[in-house]
Amino acid sequence: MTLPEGIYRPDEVASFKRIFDAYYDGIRNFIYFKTGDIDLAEDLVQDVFLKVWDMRAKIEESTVKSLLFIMANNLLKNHFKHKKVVFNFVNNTEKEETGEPADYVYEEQEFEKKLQVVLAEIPEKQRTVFLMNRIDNLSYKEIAERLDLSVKAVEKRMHQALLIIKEKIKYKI
Amino acid sequence: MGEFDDILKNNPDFGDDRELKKFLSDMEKLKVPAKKSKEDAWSELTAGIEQRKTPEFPTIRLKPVFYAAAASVLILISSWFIYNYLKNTTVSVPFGETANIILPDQSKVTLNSGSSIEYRKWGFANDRSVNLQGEAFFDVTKGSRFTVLTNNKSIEVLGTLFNVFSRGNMFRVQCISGAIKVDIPGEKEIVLEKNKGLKFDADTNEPEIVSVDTATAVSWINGEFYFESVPVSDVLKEIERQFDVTIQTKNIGDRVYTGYFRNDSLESALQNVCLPMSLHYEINGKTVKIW
Repeated sequence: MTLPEGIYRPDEVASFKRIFDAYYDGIRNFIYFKTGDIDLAEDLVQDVFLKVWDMRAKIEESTVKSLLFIMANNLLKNHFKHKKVVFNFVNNTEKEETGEPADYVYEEQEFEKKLQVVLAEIPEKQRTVFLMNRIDNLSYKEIAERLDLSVKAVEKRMHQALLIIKEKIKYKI
Repeated sequence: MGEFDDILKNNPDFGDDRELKKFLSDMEKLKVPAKKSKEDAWSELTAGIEQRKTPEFPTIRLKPVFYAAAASVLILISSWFIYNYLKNTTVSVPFGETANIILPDQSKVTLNSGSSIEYRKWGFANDRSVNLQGEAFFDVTKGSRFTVLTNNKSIEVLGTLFNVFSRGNMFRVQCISGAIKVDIPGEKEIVLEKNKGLKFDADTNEPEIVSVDTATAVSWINGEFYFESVPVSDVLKEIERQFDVTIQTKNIGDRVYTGYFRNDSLESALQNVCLPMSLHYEINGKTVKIW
């Protein structure tokens, strides 16, 4: 399960594991936010970390963050599929054993429908920043660091995303 | 998210939009539909790494073969300049001297007496490979893989400072800083970190990992030679190299010596080694007798 000592340098493996623990979710989700394809996201995140391992002699742990996202973007460019972007987020809350009241279920379905339509309308750049903030709960500063943007740029994209959402939810499907 | 709420509150575009607020709060409970747990992902990743048999580096060769191709080109091109540039560069250090070399990639090598190093200048930056006979201390710059080939073993450099000793059947490597990978045919590769060394004696055929006292390990660069439980005959061989003398011995037995000598005076070096071992010595020009 772990890379055996004597063949792999222990300090390198430890450093690599730290980077993995810190950014695995973030990278996978980032790819998911861009594509809506969880299988692709889980595949590409592996490729990103394999690349990091291969290049470990040239990489510093303290500055690896934005490099990871750049690599993810580059890998995505090679995998570009003209597929319609569809999201299937799962609900975090515990479902009660007993069946939910009918109107709760209806409301949920309505929300899911709305979500699909809305998210599909938000351009990729704004959508990615928006989801990183809302789903991953990252601060603007953190998003800025990961994507190598200014905080102002992040704020602008959030603002744009919200404007679109506000418009789109006005018109009930 | 304080800053997010600010956008909603302070911005006239959104301030009182209850629908927007509801939508956003409904999003609170969503998460990405991951199929793999983080632990499983890590297992898959490490399995993928281990499967890469020899990653960025090709298998290490014991005897370099690229010289043959270069040699046939030499015959066709008679220009001395190109000949000089393509052939291997060899630096040999006779007995009684040490030498400092700077390789084309700015790596530094200090050669001990009676040692030689061979490498190809052309394309060195892309394939940093040197052939060593004897003993040398390496200070390697960052860059592509750096390989030290000896008649005994091969070393791949992951770090920067290390000392290699390869004479006859004896092989020793000490890692002073960084890490190095030693390739032993028939066995797995061994990674040595700072302050660790590897000893290999063809008699025992077992590699032994030892701790290294870095202060004494490379003191030979400063002309000081430390020994701990080393066969006297090996110590005397080093004296031969350092002073360019021939030592004839009679009945000295096969005891081990612990101590040191400096290479600035043959007389004191012989005293340091012989007296503790109750041995006599006699200097006759370039020959020394010990009994």
